[in-house]
Amino acid sequence: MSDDQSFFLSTSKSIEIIEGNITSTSNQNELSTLDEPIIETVKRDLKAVLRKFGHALIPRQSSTLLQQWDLWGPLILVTVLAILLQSDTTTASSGMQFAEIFTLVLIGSAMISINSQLLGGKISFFQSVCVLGYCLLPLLIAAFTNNLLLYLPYRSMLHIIRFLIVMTAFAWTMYASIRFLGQTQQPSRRMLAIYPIFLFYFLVSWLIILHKPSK
Amino acid sequence: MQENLQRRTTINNNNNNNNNPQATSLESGMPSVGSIVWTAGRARAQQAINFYANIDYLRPYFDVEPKEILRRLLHALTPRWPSPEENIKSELYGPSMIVFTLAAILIYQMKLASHSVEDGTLIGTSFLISFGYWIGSSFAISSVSFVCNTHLNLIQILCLNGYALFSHCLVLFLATFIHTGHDHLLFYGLWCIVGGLAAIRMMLVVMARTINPRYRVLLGLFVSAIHMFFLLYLHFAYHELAETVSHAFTNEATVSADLPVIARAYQLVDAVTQSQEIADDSHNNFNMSSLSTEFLSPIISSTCN
Repeated sequence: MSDDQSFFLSTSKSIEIIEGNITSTSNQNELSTLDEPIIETVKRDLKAVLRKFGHALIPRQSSTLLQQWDLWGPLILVTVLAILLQSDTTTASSGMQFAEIFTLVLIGSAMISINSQLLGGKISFFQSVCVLGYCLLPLLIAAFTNNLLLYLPYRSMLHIIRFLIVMTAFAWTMYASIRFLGQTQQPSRRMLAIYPIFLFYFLVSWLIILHKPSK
Repeated sequence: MQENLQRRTTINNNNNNNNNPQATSLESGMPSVGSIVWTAGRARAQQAINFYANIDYLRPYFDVEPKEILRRLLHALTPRWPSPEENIKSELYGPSMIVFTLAAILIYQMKLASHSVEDGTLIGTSFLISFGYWIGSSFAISSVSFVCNTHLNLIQILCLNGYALFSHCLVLFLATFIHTGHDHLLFYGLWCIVGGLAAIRMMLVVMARTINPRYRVLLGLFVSAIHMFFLLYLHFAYHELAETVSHAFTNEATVSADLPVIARAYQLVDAVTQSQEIADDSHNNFNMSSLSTEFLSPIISSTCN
């Protein structure tokens, strides 16, 4: 142990730099919350997530989703949506189906954020993942209702009801995401930024409509 | 954010200069943990900078208005010989969105046909095919046009090829959502007309920019052949099962609608039997079943119609 220490001390230039940077002042805020009990941290984060769910359901003029972004909400929503949309219970393909939703949301978010940056908007990748993930909440509610309705008879009427529910949720989702993401673009180019979002949510809606239950 | 990045890069560069002696102190034969961590961090910072630099390189190609996009979409299906002084300002927003739309249509078709993929996901496959074709065929056309001495650069070919894919989107969309008795005829008609228009448009633009007449014909045929064959491939690889599935789906809907109605009717019948507390079950079941057939037959006829 002492030999290793002496070896490291002989290359002392790096040690000085590392020692210098660890106690930098920018980390003060995070260090002060390190001593609080875990339940406090969990409660605070949970409240923030639930507040953002509220913003996604009832879009108000606020920049909470953009400025205080977090990825817990999108993770929870996408995981639940992926579980709800599994239709095959065999182990071989169920893993692939679960991964599909994750891949779709990841690729979709990446493309939408790159597109809005290229069009001159000021939004980062994580902010757009946050907004797109949170705005999936109405579609998740529709998928849940869909799954419940699939256990009822009267198939022909049910298709129409399911279609209407999912399309309503899609319109709600689009409205919420346009409220949040539209303001990051210039007015004349807004349609150009909205089209990929429309495509993304439309695809998710069709995946929900096409979902058949496992037999 | 870019200012932060620039500040970070200057700090990285300064630290690199300071740490170079430390990173290269490998004569002892054992690299220290700090040097490994530092080189990995520096490599990642370099990659991030390159990524952002590439974004800036592409930014001028996304400088369009929505009206311009619509105009170009319409012109992609109207073949005309371009005038010599016409300068196509190429942009990449329209083609990228068209390729995404094509990927979305392919995903929908694959889901409908329950197409299964061994390695990877359906979504990955459709993105790979759409983007792979767009970029791969553009590179192929660019190489052949370099040989044929055409006055078109890669970005212009990417733009042209991307807008020509609008015909693919249109044909696949119509062929997926319109199911008549003559599905194949509809597809072949759309393939010839819509696909042909876009192929001829692309062919004319490419031919107008080539000087040598023999190379002109060769390049024109090459471009239109790739375009038409890709549409055929997309249809036969991913759409083939869709019509049989949709027919099976509609048949299944009418058959299964009867069974729950009959089951419900029998439940009602049982409830009525129990509530009335009739002693002779077989006699009353016979009565109830005759009643139920009279009750059911109009329902069955209405669901079948």
